[in-house]
Amino acid sequence: MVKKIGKFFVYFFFFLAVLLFFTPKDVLYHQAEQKLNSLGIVISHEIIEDAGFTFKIRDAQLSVKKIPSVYIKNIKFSVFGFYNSIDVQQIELSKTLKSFAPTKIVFIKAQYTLLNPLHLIANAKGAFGTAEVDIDIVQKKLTLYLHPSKLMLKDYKSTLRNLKKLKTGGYIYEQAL
Amino acid sequence: MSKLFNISLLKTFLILLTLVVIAKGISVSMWYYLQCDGVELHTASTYEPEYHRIDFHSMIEKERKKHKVQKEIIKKKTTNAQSITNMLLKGLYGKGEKGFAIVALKSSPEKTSIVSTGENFSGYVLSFIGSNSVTFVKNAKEYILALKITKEASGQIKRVKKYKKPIQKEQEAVEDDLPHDVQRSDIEYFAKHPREIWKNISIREVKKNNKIIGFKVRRINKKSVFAKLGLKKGDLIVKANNITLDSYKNAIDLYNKIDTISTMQIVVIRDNQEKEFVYEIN
Repeated sequence: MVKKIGKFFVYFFFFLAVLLFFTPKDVLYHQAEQKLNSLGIVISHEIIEDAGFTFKIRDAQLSVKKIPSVYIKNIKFSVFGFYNSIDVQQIELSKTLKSFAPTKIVFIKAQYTLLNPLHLIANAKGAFGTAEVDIDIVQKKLTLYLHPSKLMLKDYKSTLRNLKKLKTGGYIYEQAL
Repeated sequence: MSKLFNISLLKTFLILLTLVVIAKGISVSMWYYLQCDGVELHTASTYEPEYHRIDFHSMIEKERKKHKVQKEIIKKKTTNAQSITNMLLKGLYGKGEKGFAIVALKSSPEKTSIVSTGENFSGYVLSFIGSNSVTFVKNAKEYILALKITKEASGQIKRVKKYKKPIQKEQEAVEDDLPHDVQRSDIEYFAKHPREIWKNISIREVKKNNKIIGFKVRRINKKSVFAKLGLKKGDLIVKANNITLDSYKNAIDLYNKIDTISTMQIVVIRDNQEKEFVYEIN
């Protein structure tokens, strides 16, 4: 009996792995693009690469309401079911956003694992400092912890005013989803 | 009978193969039913002619300056040259080295002669036509003959006793109609420090039927550069360089081009009236 259950799981995971490998990720990506387009977000000039178990996008220009807003060098999607992540690297905000935040972001990494099934966690590092984002799926709440850099503290006080200052020196921002 | 291959291995292989085929089938159906084109940013390819301002005021000023220089040249010539005492200049036509003069001798003022530039009259060669005088040359020396201005003609010019200052509103209106000078260094500064803009001015979009109709000045620091440009709280900016500001994109496109433009025109709605401001970036 145990042997049969074991065999079932082996076949099940094998099937999932093969399905993941054959899934037309570019088609799903274009579907997502259509959804984003309805919100006024367009990703253009990107190079799409289906790498079997992962999906990569290079040199993407993200526009919000037809305004070129962000340039992203690399985005990597890893979807394994039990561990899923989006790794975004070398982000540069448009100079029009310079008045709100420093334009260079080194990386943003968002992940969801079955080990922490009720939370979606993200980390980011850039000229603004470092940040951690926690999205509580049950309570539908976003919490952002920001550890601002010297540049952020010096030149972006007006942006920091939207966040609550913590005793530790960091800043917190909470938003119901 | 000996076994050529392991039956259980073959069974496992067949199951795995079936799973692969099912997975491939699902992915093909996904591809078939979900396929669509990607989205690219398409900006409307409308022809946007570059904004050029034809400034008649500057053109007139240029002509005035040119005229002034010419006058100075004539004046210089006049100071160096001697005047002719035995001739009368009754009229002239042309300018510089092209034209003719109507001259007469003082002894017989009614007997006039038309002399073209380069022609000789009583030993004098006409060399230059000024605005109200001509220059003759004799023996390598220059002689000036001025046009006689009658009393009637000179009497048309009246001296104004006292300059009456226009009232403030009128003065402001006159100032608003004139092009404002903007220093490029100021623009470069604000382009580098955009936060400084929002410290001095606050602008928010105004929507009608869910469409942007312009950008309203909600707050302006009266001591700032922006106030000196003629903008006031409550102004609704509707156009800039003939581009209707009906989207953020149009506004930001203009902001991004600010380094390269030399003239900027904005149209605002103030007290239900359209008002135009022109800025010359030097």
